[in-house]
Amino acid sequence: MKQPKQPKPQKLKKPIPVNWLEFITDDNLKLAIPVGPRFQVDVPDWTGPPHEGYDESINSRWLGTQVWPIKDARSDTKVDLIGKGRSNFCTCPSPGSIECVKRHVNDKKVQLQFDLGPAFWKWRFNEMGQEVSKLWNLEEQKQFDCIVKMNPISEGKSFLTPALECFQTLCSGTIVSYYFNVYVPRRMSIKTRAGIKIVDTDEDEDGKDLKSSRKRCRSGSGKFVRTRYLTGRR
Amino acid sequence: MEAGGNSLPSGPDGVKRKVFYFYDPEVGNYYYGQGHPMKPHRIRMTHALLAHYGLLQHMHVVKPALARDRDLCRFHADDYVAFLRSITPETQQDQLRQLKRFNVGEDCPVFDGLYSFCQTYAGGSVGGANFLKCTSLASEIHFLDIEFCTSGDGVFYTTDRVMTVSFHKFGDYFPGTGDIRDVGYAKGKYYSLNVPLDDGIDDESYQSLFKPIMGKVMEVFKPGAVVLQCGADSLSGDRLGCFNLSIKGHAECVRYMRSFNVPLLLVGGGGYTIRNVARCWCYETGVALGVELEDKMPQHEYYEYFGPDYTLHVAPSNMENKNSRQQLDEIRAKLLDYLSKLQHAPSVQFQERPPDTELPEVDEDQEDEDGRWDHDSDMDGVDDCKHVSGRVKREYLEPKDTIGRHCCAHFLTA
Repeated sequence: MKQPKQPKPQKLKKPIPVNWLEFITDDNLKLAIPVGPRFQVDVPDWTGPPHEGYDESINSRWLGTQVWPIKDARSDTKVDLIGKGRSNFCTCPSPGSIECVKRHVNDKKVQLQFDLGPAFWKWRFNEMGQEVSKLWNLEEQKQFDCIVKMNPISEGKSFLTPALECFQTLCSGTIVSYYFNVYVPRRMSIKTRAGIKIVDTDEDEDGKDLKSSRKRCRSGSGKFVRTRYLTGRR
Repeated sequence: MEAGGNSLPSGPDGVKRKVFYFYDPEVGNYYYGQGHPMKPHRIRMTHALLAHYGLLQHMHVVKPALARDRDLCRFHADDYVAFLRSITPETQQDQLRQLKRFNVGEDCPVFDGLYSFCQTYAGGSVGGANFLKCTSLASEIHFLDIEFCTSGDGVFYTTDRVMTVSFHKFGDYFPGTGDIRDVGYAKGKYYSLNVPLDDGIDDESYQSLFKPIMGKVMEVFKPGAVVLQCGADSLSGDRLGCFNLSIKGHAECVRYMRSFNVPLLLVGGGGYTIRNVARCWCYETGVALGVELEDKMPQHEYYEYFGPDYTLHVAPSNMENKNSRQQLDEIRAKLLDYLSKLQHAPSVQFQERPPDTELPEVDEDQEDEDGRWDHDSDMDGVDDCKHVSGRVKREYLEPKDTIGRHCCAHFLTA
């Protein structure tokens, strides 16, 4: 038999400070700063600048591997083109259409490959954008679209595990690459041209206003409540 | 272009500078998981924009060396590094106690390639810091560490060698610290500054704090090098952030710090509306180079992320700026007062950096070195930091315990 609920003791609430300076200096909100060897870096005393030869091998390692400029790069890199945006002129039959964009993106890519030489490949521009779709046949692309649609974020699902199960020869890096390079921009291009003003890169936030998309505590419609990101919890 | 607050004799602000840019082409494919707001792909998007705006071609671009275990263990507890190295999405269910202890699992999830991701971006930061060391002006290096939108985690709280200034949303917000009264401890007293802000701060309000405060910091502290964390979550429309800065407003801070002509390391940080992150960091790279970018974005691999206008700049929203003029004045006054208590830096001669400072040669090819893991330690669980009446919570450890940072999983802000 159920016990009657005991009324909870009333807690006295501290009045909420209305003044910002009061709020930011409110002791109740104050977290202690941990101090000790586990919490602070030990900054050694300065003993003078590094002398010649000392730690050189270590230092040179940290300089990394230079990718640009390359030794035989053309020194006539077009200075007047630095910072330049897209041209106002377009001779495409349907300017601004998906096909128009594809054509210009491709032209720019070819130009970039010419300008960068081997750096183009080192920076993997060949693995960026719609180029990545060339590695997937139409059937696979359709399957992937299905998998993403059937595993929406709003239900706390993820496309990655089902995609790995479906495409067993592919690793997660390849699938993620397809998602960001092909799937998302394709979806965005369609929605943009359908007149949706704010297209978010996450599945279930299309068309919502900025305020709700910034919610840190998302309550699902029923079975799933998302955790909050970047809260004050430690 | 507004004149900078340069208090040192130097060239005009429009002078182009030598810029080194660290980029690893692997970084874009790391994935925190569906729904997680942190997307390393934003860095790849930035890279493509830089290339098509012609900026990459005017920088020294370097692939960073991966940080090894021993490199990470210079700054982090051995067991924390060992944990990061060994944990995988498949094994995490068996490590619940460790996950809780190291604050990993939610904001900072376990994902495929987690450790190599940490090695990658740590390598970039350390690489950049090494360049700073080589080019620093002063005979004694003081570092200034500026955070744009989240408060720091107190790692320099007790030293006077590093000054930390942090601008952030105050309140129930990661990581929960950043009280205006947290000014440092012991030798580090007044070498930490926290600037607590409320929702909706706009360009003008932000600059009304940033410039006077940072101007004064540069004057009294005279750092030999500056690290500026350019977290883009302070931009308008950020998925998690709640400020209302425009890209130009955000970049104005970079421009201002650059005008002091002190070696400057720009690092990333937060930023969860990835199209705006790419816009911002591309524009700010332009600022670093002294180049203005046209607003109409060039067509490129990620062009469709930027519809419907396909522009570099986006207007801030009409959200309410909850930071009143009075609040800002009070905060500014309090912080300038703290700064006035700061001892002037011991007589460090400031030398003008010659224009062709010799920078170390970068090898074309570098062999990868494998870090060997040969140390294990067993530490007690971390105490939760409770609300206490004092400002600090001191902890004393046996000399044998490793020195390391508070176990705050910071890789969220790569």
